[in-house]
Amino acid sequence: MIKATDEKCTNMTISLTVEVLTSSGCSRCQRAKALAKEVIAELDDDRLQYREIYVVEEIDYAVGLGLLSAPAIALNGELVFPYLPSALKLRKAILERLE
Amino acid sequence: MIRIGEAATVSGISTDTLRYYEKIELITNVQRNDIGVRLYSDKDLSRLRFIKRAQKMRFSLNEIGQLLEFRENPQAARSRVQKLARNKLEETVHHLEELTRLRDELHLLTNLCRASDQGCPILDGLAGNDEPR
Repeated sequence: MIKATDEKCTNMTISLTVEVLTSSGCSRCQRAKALAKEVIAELDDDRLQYREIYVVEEIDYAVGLGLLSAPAIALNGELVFPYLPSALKLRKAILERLE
Repeated sequence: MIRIGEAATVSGISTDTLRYYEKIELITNVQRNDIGVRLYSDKDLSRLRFIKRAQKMRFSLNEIGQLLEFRENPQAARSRVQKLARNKLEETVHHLEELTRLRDELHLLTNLCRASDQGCPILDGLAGNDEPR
């Protein structure tokens, strides 16, 4: 019984939300969205979730992250890439957090 | 002793405000000459400097009135002054946090606006624009 609860807790902790912070009139934002979706699809892991954040609509959250420009990518509420990363770097950062 | 015009120049407080301070008793016992003209003493000017400093520290006129009373008897008023100053400090910290937040928001929004190749996201956000992002 205890083991089952523990397993459930562990699974909950290692789920990861990839948040792409975007803005209008930002061509690189489209690239950031496509990149995040591609990497998530490649990894094909149920623990991964994708979320788009339109900065102007969630300005409090964006400021709380320390965001200064768009696009940017946050992983579980941490601003890991305040710029458009390469696919390699994004994949590595996601995998590190899922381990 | 100087007249109100000179007191206004020296203190940087307008004559209307000086009269108002007298009316609400921030400045009391301002002397008058034979024909009723106000005459400000060094002590009055010192009080005015104190009021101005306190205003810069964002004390309200009501609070400044209390501070001036405390000033007359500093030893007896020590704990009350500390309490008033502590409250003001807490207010200031809160205000500073709000200002910092506002600064960060504006910083972000101006960066987004600068980087945008069509229009400005700030205006889009206000207008509730549904165009592709």
